[in-house]
Amino acid sequence: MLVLLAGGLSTVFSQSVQLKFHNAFVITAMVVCVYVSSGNSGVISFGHVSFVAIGAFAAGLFSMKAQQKGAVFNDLFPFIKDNHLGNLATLILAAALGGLYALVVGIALVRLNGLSAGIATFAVLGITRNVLRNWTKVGPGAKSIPGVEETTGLTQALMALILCIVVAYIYQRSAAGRRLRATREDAIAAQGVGIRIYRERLIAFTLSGAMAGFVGAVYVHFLGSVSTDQVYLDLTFLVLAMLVVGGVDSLWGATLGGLSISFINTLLSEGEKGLSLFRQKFTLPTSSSGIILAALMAIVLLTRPKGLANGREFGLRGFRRRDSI
Amino acid sequence: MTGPARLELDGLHVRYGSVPALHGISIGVSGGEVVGIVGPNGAGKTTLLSAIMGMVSWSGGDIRFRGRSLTRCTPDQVARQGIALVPEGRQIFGDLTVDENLRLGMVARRGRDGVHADLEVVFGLFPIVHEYRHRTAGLLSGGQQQQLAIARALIASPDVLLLDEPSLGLAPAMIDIVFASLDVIRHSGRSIVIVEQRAQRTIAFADRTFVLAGGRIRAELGSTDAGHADLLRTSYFGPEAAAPEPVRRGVEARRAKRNHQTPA
Amino acid sequence: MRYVQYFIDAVALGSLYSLVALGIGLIFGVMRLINLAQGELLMVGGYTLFATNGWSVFVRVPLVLLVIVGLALLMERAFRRLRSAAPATMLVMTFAVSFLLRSIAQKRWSAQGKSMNIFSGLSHAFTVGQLRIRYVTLVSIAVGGVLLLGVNLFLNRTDIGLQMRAVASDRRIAQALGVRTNRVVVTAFALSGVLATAALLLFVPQRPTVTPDFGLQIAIVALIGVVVGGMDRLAPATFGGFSIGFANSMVFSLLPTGQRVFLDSVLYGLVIIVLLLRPQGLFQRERQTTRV
Ligand SMILES: Nc1ncnc2c1ncn2[C@@H]1O[C@H](COP(=O)(O)OP(=O)(O)O)[C@@H](O)[C@H]1O
Ligand SMILES: [Mg+2]
Repeated sequence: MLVLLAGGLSTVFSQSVQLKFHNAFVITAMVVCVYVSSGNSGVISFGHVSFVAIGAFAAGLFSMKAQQKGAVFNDLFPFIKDNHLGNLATLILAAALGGLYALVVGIALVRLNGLSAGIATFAVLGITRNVLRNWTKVGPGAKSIPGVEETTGLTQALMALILCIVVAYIYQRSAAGRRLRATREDAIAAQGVGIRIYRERLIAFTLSGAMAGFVGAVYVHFLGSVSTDQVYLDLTFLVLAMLVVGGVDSLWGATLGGLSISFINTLLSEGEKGLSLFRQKFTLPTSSSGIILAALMAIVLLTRPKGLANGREFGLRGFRRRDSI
Repeated sequence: MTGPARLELDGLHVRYGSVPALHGISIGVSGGEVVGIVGPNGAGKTTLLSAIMGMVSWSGGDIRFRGRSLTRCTPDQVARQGIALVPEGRQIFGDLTVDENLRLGMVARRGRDGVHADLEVVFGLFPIVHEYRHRTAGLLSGGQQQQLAIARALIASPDVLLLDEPSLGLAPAMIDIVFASLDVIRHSGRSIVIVEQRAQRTIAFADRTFVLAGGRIRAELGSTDAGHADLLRTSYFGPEAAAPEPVRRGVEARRAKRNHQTPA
Repeated sequence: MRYVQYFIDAVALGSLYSLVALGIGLIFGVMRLINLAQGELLMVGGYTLFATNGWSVFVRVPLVLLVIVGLALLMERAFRRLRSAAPATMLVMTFAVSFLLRSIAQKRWSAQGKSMNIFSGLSHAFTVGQLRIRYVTLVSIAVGGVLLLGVNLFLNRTDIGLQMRAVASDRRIAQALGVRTNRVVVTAFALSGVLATAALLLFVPQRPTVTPDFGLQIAIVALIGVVVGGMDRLAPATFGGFSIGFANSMVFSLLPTGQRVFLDSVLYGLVIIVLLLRPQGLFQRERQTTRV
């Protein structure tokens, strides 16, 4: 279905616009990562962009050549400064670091619920950014990491997204995933039948952290450079907004919300530069894309408070209601 | 205030999502009349009162008060027209004082005239409410809270008083106090709709009592039918309903707990 | 003496955040909505100040008040339909509104900071012994105290205040008693607009440039304070706001100059510790349960 979508896109849009769509795929992959933890557990996390940031920074720094790093970021720890990794290795490293970081954070925080959990994970995001931005032994400081190899193309982005969806699907159908979803529906009853709620949450949190680290690496290989501001508040809220607009309780909702909003977002920001669509030329006034996007999200929320997917889920045979899983 | 205070339910249908809760209920309550509604747990009694108050919307039929439809009326508008609810499980404001709870009851009054006289009456009925009026309401006992809940509804000076299981979870002595106060209230000319699971006492107290089960009215009884209540229960709800008290305990306990947890 | 100085400054910043926190808490109380767009009230007010630089304060203050309260009421209209929606939906809706307003500001005024000045005399300082106290510090503490007291009196001494507490406690029952909940909610939004106006005017001397993100930063800090203090009741929420402002200023003063860039990390670390120790809120009684 996604492949079809990609195929369809290429007939509608010109080459230059197509290139921008890998942004949409990568962002959607992030939505899926957050879904794995927040969607299945019902506990909202504002902290997942930290894992994206860790992955992006690790991949970015390690894919820079040693002498280049020495010139620009002299303060870095020697093992970061002097080592260089290949493309695939940076992806694996990013996933490992993301997972590890999520595990450490999760051990402390998965026992929190509701708003406390939201704010605590947000605090993690704040700390991550603050450290990456100011501790020049581990990061580039207020500068951005320049010249990262741009190996993420449309195909790679799509593959990353599909990989994330597949992992999310497998997890959700697995015994562990079902146990976690049971705690979301009724925590007390789930504990009554012997489900260890914190353990299940920690599994999902760590898995989604690893996925987010991986996506962060894919992201940096697409951006070509990254600064702390790109993986902070706006990305956090945008990803969460996509999840909620799509429908927080199903993988289909996460995917749909991510794809639709990020496609519209891409279209709008391209539209500001002038966009040919079906051979017509459109130009939007500058910086109106944010306004339109926010207004659209507001309208969707007002008309479909449960999200676009409204509880429906991916199934092997078409879409099914969530409760049939 | 137009027309006599007659409340009329006419073929009322209510559903929660796709699940129906009431199937065509028709009941008329004339001014000054006491109507009882009895039925087992889940029969739709609370739903019926909620519909009257405008707290749930109905999918068919109509509710009229003084000849005017209450469709599209919000609960506050219904309250201001002279219908007051004593909700299931009391639902007083636990973190406000008794006095403040009473002041909230006055919100629905049409004008402030006679407040003091009404307060006298209420305090006469429930001396405990007067005595504890500066206390935090959540610290009162269950029976005291029930008295406060009735007092709070009465001080609105309603034409129709709706009571949802006022005896729920109360000690027998407390139940006597509650019914004694209702007896005084009925003589002040207000209509009363009382919902109960205790069939006998309700049937004896009310002018007419409707038996509700599965969202339908199964029977209408006069107050002299009280003696046959057990027979009736068995025939309408099946044998297990003849002695429903032990079954209900768990529900009550859970309900009490839930009310306690509701953030104040 | 140095610590007295730190303390006074911290109390002043705490007062400012407690005003914003009280606004957030009032709205959360009556409609269980966490308004992320609360900060945009300050932002829009800030641009109003910028646009009217040089005018008489007797025009500007009422004008800013009018604009902010007006915007707060508009927000209320936008959120009204979502009253029974899931908490996450409401949260994202307020984010969408915040994002919308910031986008508009960015389009109209660009991301470049614009300077606003009002009551410039407040930035001056006087010295008492070794203490150097700016007038705005005293005024912040005084205005903060007066407004908190005022809101307290409003809630406890007026009918609409009582109704507001009833709605916060149990909206359904309050409405069934005849309380016009819409009116109560509108009042809460208007009140939070008034508080935001006061906070803005007092923030200006220390943050004289307004950007599209001006309010977001303040609102997020205040919101964190509210959750740390305990959302379910106003007093803990407000005191939480005060605490985070106080801690912000105090930690900043106490950190060695070279380490001040890590202020955020220290603060957020404290927040996490407090949340782990008292998830229901620092100043909340045990039995309270979180709603969301
Ligand atoms: N808010 C609700 N949502 C869905 N179903 C409800 C709701 N409230 C009640 N019901 C259902 O409607 C039926 C009638 O409930 P209720 O009116 O509370 O009965 P009673 O008060 O007689 O015990 C029950 O089957 C109950 O499960
Ligand atoms: Mg009931």
